[in-house]
Amino acid sequence: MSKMVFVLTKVDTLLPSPWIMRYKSPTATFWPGPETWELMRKKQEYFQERLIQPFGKYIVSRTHNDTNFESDLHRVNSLSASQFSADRNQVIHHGFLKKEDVEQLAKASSKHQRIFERLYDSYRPIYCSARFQFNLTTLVLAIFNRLGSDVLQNFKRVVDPDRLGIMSLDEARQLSNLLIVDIADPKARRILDLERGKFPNPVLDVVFYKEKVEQKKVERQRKGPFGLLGLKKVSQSNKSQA
Amino acid sequence: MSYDDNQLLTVLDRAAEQDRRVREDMKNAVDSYDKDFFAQVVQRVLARLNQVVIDFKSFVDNAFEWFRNKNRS
Repeated sequence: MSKMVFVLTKVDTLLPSPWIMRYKSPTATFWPGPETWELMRKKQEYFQERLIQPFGKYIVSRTHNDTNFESDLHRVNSLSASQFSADRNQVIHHGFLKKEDVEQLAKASSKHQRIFERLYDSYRPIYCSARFQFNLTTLVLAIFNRLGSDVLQNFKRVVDPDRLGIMSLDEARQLSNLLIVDIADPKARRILDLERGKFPNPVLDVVFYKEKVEQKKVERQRKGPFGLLGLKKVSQSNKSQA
Repeated sequence: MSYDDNQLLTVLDRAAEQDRRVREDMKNAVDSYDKDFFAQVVQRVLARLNQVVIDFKSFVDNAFEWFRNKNRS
């Protein structure tokens, strides 16, 4: 039981609210909208209660020790019904740590709050999406905690934690699952195609804009404040591009 | 459905915070397990060296014993 990781895969198929692509040049990461996030949390709680909690007594969870937990070990053990053990590098907990226990222990010993949270998190089903590379860092961290220091040395060569969950913009653009096509147009003009960088035209696709835009105004904006000068600029830039 | 600006900012803040926390945990975990691994390696090497010293001492003792017996005879 201690070596098992429960994973809720393909969360990119959950769509109560749109996914958000967080763009930071030149990379992109994905994050669920609030409703999708809430749904994932509910699923996580449900599977934790049904699949993991009944086998709680067989669980041994482990995390790294970054707050000198070993010095407070006796005090924490006297507060908790289940048993902790620790050395300089890691903290081990025997049994299932409930949310209420985490809150109680964190209140009593706030210095080690993150350790209790990590121990609790390590036995929750982990939601993730390979398609959006979402939450893969948490998944890999859970695997690291189960592997132990010996095996980790080999595993580290395969996984680069700094690059997990981050993809290039080109890669991210290809993941869009919405394409809008004008079917009245004989050539089936694309109105929105993220992969090709095509967005609704303010004049042709005015229905997609909250505020109606006049064609003249758009032309004026395109040409710039001096009209002809703007045209010259456009033609010059076209020449340079050619 | 869409989000208003405040809602979007809240979501983005939460995403950034969680992302930062998990990456920090990952880094600390790797450091900590590395230390544990090297401590184990050192411990194993020391145990092996200790065994070599014991074996060598035993060899020397046996050699002395052998010479002593040989001189007596």
